[in-house]
Amino acid sequence: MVYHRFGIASAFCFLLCWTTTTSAVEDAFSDMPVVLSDNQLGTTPSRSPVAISSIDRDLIEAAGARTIPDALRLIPGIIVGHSVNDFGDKPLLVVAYHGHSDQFSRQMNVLIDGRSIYDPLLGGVNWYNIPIAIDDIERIEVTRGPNASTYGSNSFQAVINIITRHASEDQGHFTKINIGNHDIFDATYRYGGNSGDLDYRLTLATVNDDGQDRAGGNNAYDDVNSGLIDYRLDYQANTRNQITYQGSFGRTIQQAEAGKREPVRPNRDIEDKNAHQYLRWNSTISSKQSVVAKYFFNYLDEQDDFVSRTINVFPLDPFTFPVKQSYISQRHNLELTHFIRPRDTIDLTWGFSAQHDRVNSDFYFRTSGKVKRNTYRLFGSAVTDINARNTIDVGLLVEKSDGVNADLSPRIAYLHHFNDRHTVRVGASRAVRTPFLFEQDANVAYTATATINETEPVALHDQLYVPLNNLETEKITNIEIGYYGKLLNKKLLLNTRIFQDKLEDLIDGPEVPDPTGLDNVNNAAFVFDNLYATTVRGFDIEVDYRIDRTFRVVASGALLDIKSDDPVRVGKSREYEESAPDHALSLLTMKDFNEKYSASLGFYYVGDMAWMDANHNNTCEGGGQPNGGCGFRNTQGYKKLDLRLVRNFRLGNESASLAINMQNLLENYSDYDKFPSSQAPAVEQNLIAFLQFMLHIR
Amino acid sequence: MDRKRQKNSSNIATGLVVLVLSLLNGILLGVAKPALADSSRHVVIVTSSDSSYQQRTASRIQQNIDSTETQALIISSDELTTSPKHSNTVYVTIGERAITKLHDYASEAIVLRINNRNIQRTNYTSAQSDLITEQPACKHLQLIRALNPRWTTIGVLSSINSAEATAELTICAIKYNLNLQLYAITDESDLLTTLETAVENNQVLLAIVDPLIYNSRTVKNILLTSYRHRKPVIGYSDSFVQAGAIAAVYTSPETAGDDAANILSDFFANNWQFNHTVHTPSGFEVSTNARVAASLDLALPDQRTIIRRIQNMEIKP
Repeated sequence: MVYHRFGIASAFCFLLCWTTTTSAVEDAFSDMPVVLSDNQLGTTPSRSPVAISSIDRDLIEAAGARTIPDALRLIPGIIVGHSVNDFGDKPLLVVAYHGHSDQFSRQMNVLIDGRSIYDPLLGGVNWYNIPIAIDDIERIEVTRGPNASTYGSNSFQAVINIITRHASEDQGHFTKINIGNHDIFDATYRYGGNSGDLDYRLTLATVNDDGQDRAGGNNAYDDVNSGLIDYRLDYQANTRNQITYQGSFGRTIQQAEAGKREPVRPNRDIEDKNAHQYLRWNSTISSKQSVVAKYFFNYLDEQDDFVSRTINVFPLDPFTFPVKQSYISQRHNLELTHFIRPRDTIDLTWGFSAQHDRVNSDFYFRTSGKVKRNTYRLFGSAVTDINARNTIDVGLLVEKSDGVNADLSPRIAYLHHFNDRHTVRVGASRAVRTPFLFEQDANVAYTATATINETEPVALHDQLYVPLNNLETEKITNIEIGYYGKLLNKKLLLNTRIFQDKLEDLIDGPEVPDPTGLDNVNNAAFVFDNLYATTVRGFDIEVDYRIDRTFRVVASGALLDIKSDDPVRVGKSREYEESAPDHALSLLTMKDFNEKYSASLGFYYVGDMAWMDANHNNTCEGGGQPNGGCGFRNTQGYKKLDLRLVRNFRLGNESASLAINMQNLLENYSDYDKFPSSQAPAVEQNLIAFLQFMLHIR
Repeated sequence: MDRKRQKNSSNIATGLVVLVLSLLNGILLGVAKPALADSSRHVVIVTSSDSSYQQRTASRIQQNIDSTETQALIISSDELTTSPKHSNTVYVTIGERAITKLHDYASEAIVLRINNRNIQRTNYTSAQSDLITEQPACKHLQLIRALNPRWTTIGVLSSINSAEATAELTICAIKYNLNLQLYAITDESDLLTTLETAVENNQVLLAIVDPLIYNSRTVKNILLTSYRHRKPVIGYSDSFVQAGAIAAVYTSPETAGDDAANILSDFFANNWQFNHTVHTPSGFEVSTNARVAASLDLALPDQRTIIRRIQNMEIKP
């Protein structure tokens, strides 16, 4: 709780120390504070060196999103799944881009206001306990493709950057309540105020539901209950210096179902406590230069200690043993970025950062109990407008992590603007993914003492994971040609590209004879190694059509082909090829009928695919062998139809709305593992219906 | 020769007296101030704040005043009450606060008031004249047309403080066939709601000088909200452009300073009489924020082109 107290104390101290009186009487000659600084400006697709998509607040609301992944379905190439699996792991909401993902989507970086939140231990993000209330989000920018020189390491296949609103934009009281089936009960309360040059907001939020149902109709053991306190303070020190301080404390309790493909893990509740502190100083030196310095601290404490289920293995007597799977992870990150504009046609950015990751866990690191890693980065980029029609954008990241060789991540793009409506982009980039601490140093074993005939003790050691020295980074090389057009009097925005991603040294952990020689159960252990390479080719398209001020249509689609470089194409090599659908699309229409009524309709189609940790060894649904094809793609194609009807109310400055949200109206479907090898009924997505009430008092 | 020596001696003596007085003044008041000789012409430039614009304007005036004939001193409005009064003094006030403070301090003063059009109607018993630095309302619409002729729906937030400017804008909008939408702000609490409506329903938000609506506290919301709606804001000062507006047409401090110095020169030459009661700026400047424009996916012409287009519109609307 120390960090929690520190956070609240810091917030109050900040308030007290920095609060100032309202500015003196101003006139036209007064200096204005720099509001839209380099750090706060988004990149438009016509100026971006890589493909980017943006989901604004209107889209988030129209999609009826309770969680961020619900909104991310609108991004071409992104697939969302609910990973209630057979291994007894806690259920995760998984967001993957272009396949290659199991329940931990490691090949994608996720940031909140530039703060990377991926888990240093296991990679990926637990979207159930992400420390942000969805109502505080300004927009979500998704970079499709590698862009390490801008977003840092692990900006590998994609980058999701969640941008929250400035505290001055959330003034007054805001309340939102969702109530629906699946025991849905979400509540958010936010208060925003200001005192002189200080704007602040405090958000309290809770998200609760009973998770998914089994195909037979029974509720799966995957309830989620989470609570969050989140705050942000924006202080305008003077016209050229802004300080932003953010923090949060969250607690999530997730049910995890007993393993069906392994005998140890029982039904249990897993508790996550997370917190963060984030301080950012933004200084505009002149119209030509600005500096951003930021420090953040992420903290996660996962409590998952349990006693195993009873093990019955002849000739041993039935026995249980304790498993202490809890861990604490911490990340400190310090970064400085300098923006320079030496000429009107040149933008330069450079900076450096240092990061310290530390994980304490007797389970994942059984001999050491903890692992630390320092990472240092130097990055820079230059954008040059050769003339009004031609732009060159180059970037470079140099990164060195403990235990891993230094890597370079370069990027170059050429953009040709035919006019202010049509832009073509040709780009190439390369990025690396540093192995996560679990991949790099995992040393996991179950140990127990059993008896035979209740007398003779037997020490059991089942080695699960063994670390491998010299594990290398994964590499991705991307080439693409993109087009961005503003058509029909700029009412229709078209963003499309063809691309090829070459992924090398992909890390996987096959089961091998136990290298430690300690295993006396099955003499086998998983060892992570750089084993595979794939090539992803595809085409994606996004359309944003504002037919008029009341009617908007947003659509996206992706065609994808993943090929393994392994000529044999069996086992994991084949699994990579099946890890993303060949085609997927989304369509969201929004209509304001008048000031009182509006509606939105979302349709999503995802083709056949298979998550990397789903069951690949089942027979096809209608019989036959999986090698024939169908059995590999056990997440069969599905269609999702969502409808949202809204009644708006307005009384002066107060606004309110009541919305009915209905999701999965077309069919029940499984978006993760439809044919688990345990033969347990698959987890299904079925009808979700909830009422949403929002009230905003300014 | 004797007369010259006598004059030098007199100057030295005067200087010594002033030095002693000013030191005493500094000691007594705790603030050391530059001295003013009673026998010469004085121009006291009173600033309302330490904003960059005001300081640069004041410095420019001071630079342009012939120091052999006139002593020019820059003080802040807060320093007025502690500064000695002299005869043969013309006050130049910059900004509203300076006007009010000067009126309280010396309502009989001769004053050149540099301000925007929302000048307080504070009358002085002696000669007074105004230099209005705000560019004519039509110039802002000309700027919008110069930036992008396809921008035809323009939102303007206004309050009672800016009624005069909005009236001029309305007339000018008709001339240029622009659809000007006015949104009245009666209280600051209305601002956010009205702002949302204004940026939703228009292609551009045009900011006009109105401290009730646009000040350092509200500008954050205005710029962030407009940016969220991906709508450009046209400001009225270079400072506004640095803050995040995409462009502004304005009077630079140098132009304002030069104009003020010329008015003073004419004033002295005209036997301490102002030629006009109201003066307008002799030129204009254009400022653009290329980074914000690029982020909004807007291609702006270069500044020379913008200025040329505005000048052409003035010749042939």
